[in-house]
Amino acid sequence: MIFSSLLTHILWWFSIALEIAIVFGIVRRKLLFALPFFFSYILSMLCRDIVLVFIKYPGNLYARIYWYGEVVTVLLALAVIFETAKYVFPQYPALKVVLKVARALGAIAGLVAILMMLMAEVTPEGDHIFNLIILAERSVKFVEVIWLILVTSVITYYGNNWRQCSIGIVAGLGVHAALTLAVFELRTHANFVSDIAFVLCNLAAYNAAAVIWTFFFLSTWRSLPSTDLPETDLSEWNHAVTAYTQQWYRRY
Amino acid sequence: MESRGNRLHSTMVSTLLILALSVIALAIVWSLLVQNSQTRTFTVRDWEEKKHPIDVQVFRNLVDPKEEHYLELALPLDRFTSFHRRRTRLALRMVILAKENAEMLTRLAVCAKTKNDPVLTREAERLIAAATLLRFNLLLAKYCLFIRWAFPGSTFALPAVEAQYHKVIESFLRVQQGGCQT
Repeated sequence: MIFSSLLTHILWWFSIALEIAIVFGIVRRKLLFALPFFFSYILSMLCRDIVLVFIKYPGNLYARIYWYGEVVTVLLALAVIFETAKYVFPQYPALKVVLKVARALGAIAGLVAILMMLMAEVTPEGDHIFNLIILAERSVKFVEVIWLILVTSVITYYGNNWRQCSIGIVAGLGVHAALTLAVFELRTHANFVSDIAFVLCNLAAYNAAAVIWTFFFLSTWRSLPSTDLPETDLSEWNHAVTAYTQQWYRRY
Repeated sequence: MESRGNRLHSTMVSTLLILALSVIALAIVWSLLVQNSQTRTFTVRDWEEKKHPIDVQVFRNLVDPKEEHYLELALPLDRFTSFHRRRTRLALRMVILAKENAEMLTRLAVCAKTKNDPVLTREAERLIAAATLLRFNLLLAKYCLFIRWAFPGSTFALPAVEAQYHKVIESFLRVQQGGCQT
């Protein structure tokens, strides 16, 4: 019991230290306006974590700050996904329209979530509202995992450079989401995880994500040895292979 | 009783699906780290040492239909079949080696893109686009060669889907060359 409490505090303070390092890294690399939503996400997590250190647990105030913070961070996480999309995918006009529509829907969903949060305070259906918020959080985490798989497939297949902060953000969110979803399922439906282990696993998952983000924002990528590109006969090969395959087609 | 059983069943299924998805996501991140640590060390020197020196003219000759027609007329059937299959196997081997070359060039170009040199990055993207197009074409050629090996001398024809195929390839290349990063 004492050990788990100590470990909880260590993980809590370690995450605060990492968040401060990430904020410092973003400011130092002048990515404040390039990644405003992610910066806001980290800042909100940092503020909530620091505030909760000074508030007595358990208590109404602690729960209120935790849940309000949770709604804000879930909405910001969704916004971060859209933010990374513009750096991972090329900016076709059609894609810009899709992202604008998605952002508008996200903003509406955000307003609805805040309204639900306020309703939870004043109506007898408060518990039901909290269940909906938890469901929304799990849904966003599910989207983060799918997003990670999609982005990784894109950069691997197209040969894009993985040393981008946006890729690091996606990786961190995806790893955090994957671990927390797995732990939630193991606790809720399989009863493999105790309450204490659940708290520790969630903290550890967030710390793993924060480590990934710190790595991406604080690393200065070493310059690789000079890599001039060689002359190749790829176009000749393309002509030869295309000419061969075209023999097989019957023209209508 | 039955509805509770159904609920339990669907809960187990969703639990297993989410656990599987989580494992896949973590495995992907791990493989990404491993794969890109390999990318980091690929240089022009590695390319010169590991590339397969294959001649495109040899490939053209092996798949030339006029050459095939000449052999069919000049040789008895059993000898033609065996000779034709040997040529097809050689062409297949060349296709596999060309694919490996294209993959190595893609790795080299990805390395070059990390230099943050705009000129080099543009060249690297062109190289990646050309290598990716070649990989698509080689995949199709491989299946054509399999059929050719299985049915030597037969005149098969496939529906002309090349227009749609080329549109797909062109849009794919536009995606590749239009990549941006922060």
